[in-house]
Amino acid sequence: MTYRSRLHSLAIAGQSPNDSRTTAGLRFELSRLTQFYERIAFAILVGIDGMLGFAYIPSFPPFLGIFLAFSVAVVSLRSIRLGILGLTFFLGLSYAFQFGALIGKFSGLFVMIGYLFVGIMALLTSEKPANAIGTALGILMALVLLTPYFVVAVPLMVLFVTSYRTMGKKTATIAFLQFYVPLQLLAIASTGEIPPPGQGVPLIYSQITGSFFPPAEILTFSNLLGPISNGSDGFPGVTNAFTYWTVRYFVGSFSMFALIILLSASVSASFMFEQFMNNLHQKGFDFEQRRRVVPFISNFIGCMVFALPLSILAGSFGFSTALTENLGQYVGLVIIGSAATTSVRLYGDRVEDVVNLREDMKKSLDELSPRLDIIEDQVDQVLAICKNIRIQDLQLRLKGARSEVELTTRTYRELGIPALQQKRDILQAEAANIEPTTTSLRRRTIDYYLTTNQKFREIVERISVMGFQTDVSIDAPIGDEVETWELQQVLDAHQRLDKTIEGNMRNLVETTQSVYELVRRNFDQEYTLTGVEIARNFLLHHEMERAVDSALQSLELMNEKYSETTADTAKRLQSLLDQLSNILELQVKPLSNVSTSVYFQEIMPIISEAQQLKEKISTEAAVLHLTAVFGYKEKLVEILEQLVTGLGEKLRAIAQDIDARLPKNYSWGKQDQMHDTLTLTVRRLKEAAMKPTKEFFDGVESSLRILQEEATLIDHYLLTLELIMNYPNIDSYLSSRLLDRGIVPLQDLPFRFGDRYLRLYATYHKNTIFDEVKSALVHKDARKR
Amino acid sequence: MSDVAPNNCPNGHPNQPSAKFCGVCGKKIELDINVPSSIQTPSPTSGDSLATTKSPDFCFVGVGEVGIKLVGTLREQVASNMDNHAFLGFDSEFSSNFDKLRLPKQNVYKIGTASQGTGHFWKMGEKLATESGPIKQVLLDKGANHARAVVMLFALGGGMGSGGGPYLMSELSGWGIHGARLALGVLPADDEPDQMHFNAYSGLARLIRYRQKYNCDMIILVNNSNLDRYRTVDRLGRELTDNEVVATICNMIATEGPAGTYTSININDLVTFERSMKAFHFAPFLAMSHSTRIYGSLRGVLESAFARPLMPFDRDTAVLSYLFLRISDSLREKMTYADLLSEYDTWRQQRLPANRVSYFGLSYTSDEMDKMDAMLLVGGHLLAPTINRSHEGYSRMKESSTVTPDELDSIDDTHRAYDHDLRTLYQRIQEGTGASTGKHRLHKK
Repeated sequence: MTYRSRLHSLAIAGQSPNDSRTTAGLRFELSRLTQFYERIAFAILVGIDGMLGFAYIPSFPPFLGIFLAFSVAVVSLRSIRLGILGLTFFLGLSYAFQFGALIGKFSGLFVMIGYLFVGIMALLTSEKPANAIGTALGILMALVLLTPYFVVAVPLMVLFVTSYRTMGKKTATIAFLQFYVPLQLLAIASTGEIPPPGQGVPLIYSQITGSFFPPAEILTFSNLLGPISNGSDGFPGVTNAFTYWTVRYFVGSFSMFALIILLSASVSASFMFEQFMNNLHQKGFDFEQRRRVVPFISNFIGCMVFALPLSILAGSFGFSTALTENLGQYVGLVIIGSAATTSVRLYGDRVEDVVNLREDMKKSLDELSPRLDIIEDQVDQVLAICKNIRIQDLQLRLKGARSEVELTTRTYRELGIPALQQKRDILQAEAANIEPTTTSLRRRTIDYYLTTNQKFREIVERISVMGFQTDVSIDAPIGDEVETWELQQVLDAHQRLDKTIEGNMRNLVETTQSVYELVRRNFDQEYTLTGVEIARNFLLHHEMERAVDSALQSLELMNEKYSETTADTAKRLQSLLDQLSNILELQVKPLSNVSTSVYFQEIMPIISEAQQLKEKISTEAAVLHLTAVFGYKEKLVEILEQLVTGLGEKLRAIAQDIDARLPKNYSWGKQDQMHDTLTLTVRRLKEAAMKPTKEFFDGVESSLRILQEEATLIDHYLLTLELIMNYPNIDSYLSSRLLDRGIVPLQDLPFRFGDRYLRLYATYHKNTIFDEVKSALVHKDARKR
Repeated sequence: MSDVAPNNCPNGHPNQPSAKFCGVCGKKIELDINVPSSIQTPSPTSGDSLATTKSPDFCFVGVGEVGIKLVGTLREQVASNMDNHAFLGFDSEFSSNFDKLRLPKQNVYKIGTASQGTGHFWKMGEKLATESGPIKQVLLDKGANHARAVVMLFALGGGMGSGGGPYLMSELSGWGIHGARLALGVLPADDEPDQMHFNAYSGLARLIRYRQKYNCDMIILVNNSNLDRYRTVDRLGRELTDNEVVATICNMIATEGPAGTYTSININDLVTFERSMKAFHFAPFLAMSHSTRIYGSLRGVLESAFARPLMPFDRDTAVLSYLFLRISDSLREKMTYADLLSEYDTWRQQRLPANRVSYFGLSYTSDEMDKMDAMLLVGGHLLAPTINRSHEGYSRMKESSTVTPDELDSIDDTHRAYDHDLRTLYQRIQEGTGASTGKHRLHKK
């Protein structure tokens, strides 16, 4: 598996040595990929450089040279630094050998050491190994255009390139122009004044060519001092030598600077072109192959900016290169290098684009998915609470977005750049849609709530006219306040409203049916309303709205016809309850005190119930009150029955109590027939409850009269009981009085009910008698006397 | 409080009606019986500091079997108020079981060491009591020394009640028990043996004076014959037993009205005038659970009570009277204090012409009935005519009794002296008013 394919598969699987699903992981893979291509490029360069170097500077046997070149290329794959150092080292050996042959035995070694030193410095000072590409190129150029001058020029060039990387683009451009333009002008101005090639050209600028076989001309001090000693063209020796060296020095200095400038111009031109194309791209000028073409062109331009002036300058300023002759080779190298660079950059860009797009995609999905969850929940909630709300389009839209998200989530790691871009655009569009969808959902829910609320209120208004009591005091506001609500508030309010509506409407339909049945049973057995049956059917099928409509129609019809009758019935009922209330208040309630409360414990709650019932009855002319009225009617019967029965039981209990305290067969006013009357009353009351209204009311009135009699009788019984309970006090009093005086006249008694007490005493004490004539209690013996 | 009668000391300093000594100069306050008759308004209930202490309010002591039964009955009657009082019983032998006594076993103590009885002889009862040392400790343990009053209940016909009762009463001061001393004695019925009347006559004398000193602050006498004839009921119409009737007398005295019922008669009110007037005996009249629906007004209720005295008495010579009135709260609005007081005053003037000192106490019961309870204590009347039967019994028995002549003389002297005192008192009242016909006198309100 190649490195690239491995990386690709990792990217697809979303894995990496670290974790390629994260940004850091993917970035790490990208940097590894870039490094890989850089190393390949360097390996090739180093390899070629090595082969050319060992070919042009022969010092090793050919096979050894090839082996060394291949070795350093392989080493470069693992470490660029080591590769360059290795190449420099072996080439240095060749140079040392060759320069030693040319200049002196150890001069080559010194040059090599300096050369290594500069190379190491360049590597150490560069921020990245990739920055050492300038060094590599310099070495390559030095090999191709090898002159002794480069021995000095390359280190400067490397330093310049290194430092250039820290400069801004504008600064670099200005620097380029500062040097390039004057030199060009100078080149033009100096035409004709510069010695022609081969004549007077310093040796250090002489092309070092394959003329190492045989070894090159030996550079000695005598060679250098040749012009002084020889003179030329009539110049005196010293003057001639001075002029010669001055010109040489001047021209040589400029030549050195010119090379430096050319190198910087080369780099700057490359940057400038890329910058220019980027600017055009930003301003809208774009073409499909920009990424492919621009790096290639910029590289080409950079190389040509260096090479072409140098080619033109050949022969001037002491340049004596073989570039013109070797331009074909040079261009070939430049094209290969540019192609390699472009290829690396293209692939790097592509991977980076993929990574960026996937990151964007992931981010979009991470953002979009929860938002979709929320709104889908909201939609579900709305649908659950607001029945029949029209939000199908929103549902569809969300469904589409959801399926897109799910599809993208599943596939985005496998998609190429165009597909990813397309997906990205789709997701962006979906994300942008969420807000309007949410707003639309809220708007429609509010509208739904307001419409329902309004409809409910209208119904309430209609049925309240007919006396139907609804619970409209719920928290279901309408108006501007609702517009400011959040969706949840609307839903909560609607839910409450819905409950109220359902309860009330069900109640309405059921009430309508019961009213209908009441009307038929009590007023008109022939009366028929199909709407009631229809409403009931709708109710069974949970079609609340239709059920309510039918019920309302039926109610309105019944209300029109029977509202007055209902009111009359209620008034009559109220009147009867008033009567009952009076009886209870004036006759029954006072019966209960501490001594008698034991008899009335169960009666008191019934009395309270009767009072409450009276307050409940409404006499409004509304047919819906009919249910309540007949309900109250039944309750009245129940209360009356309880009262008559309850008081009857009390009557019996009190009578038994009295009987137990009195002598047998003592007549104290007991009314035994009352018990039968009460039984009969209860029976009649039950019968009356089943009869039509008029007979019913007559029956109730009759029962009330009996109740009154019953209460009066209980009062009488209680008084009798009270008198009997107090009898021991009276007994001893009368005994005492009789003992004192022998007679107790009725009028002398200090208490009421004396007549009854005197008679009772006479019953208990057989030696006494109640003298009817004297109205006094007397001893029998005394009476005889 | 407009009805408060001035109670001035010899130096003229005004004092509370119940004060025995002047709060300014410290002189003893003597009752001026010649001032016009008035009804005293009782001291405020809350004014009695002892009422708030944890010590018993009243210490009820039953002496002899009848006394114990009475205390037991009273204890049951007091019910929710039981913890406020102490209930004790002393007897020489326990012939009946404790259920019958109605007093818990731990509240009943034996007098004397031998298991013998008194043989219905007061001298033996006295002997057993004097020999019984622990009585003092029992009383102190029960907090009698902190009680506002010690009330002894006994039958004067029995040996222990007539013999031990007066002795114990006389010893209280010496034991550090300084509360008011009240005795409630039940005199034997007319048809009971002379021996019992002998005991009663002797015991009564010793209740009045013992060892030459006045013994009790108040003596309430109930005659068994009257008690037998008397019938009454409770609020629910249940007829009361004789014991319950007697216990009711104590209950009415001991039960003050609810907080704020400042018109209750408290124990200090009850014993203020007796020593000054040297008239200690009282006849009780009860009218229980009388319905206003039947009796109409207080007058009817009082008539009901007055017609049925629990002790024979001479109405023309009665000097002191206390009316304890208890009415249902529901009648509070209908029967105001002022109206009731006025009604009572009118009635009192008609029925008790010699009455000079009278207290009227009113309290309310928390019920919704229309009932009234009234207890009238009438005292200071001539005692001799009302205990004729006992005197006869005493006279017949004294010759044959083993009591020393000195003691018998002492009994006779006591009765004579007491009768003399009462007559003197009555005479003073007659002279002070200038009328002896029992006509109504003006009462200061």
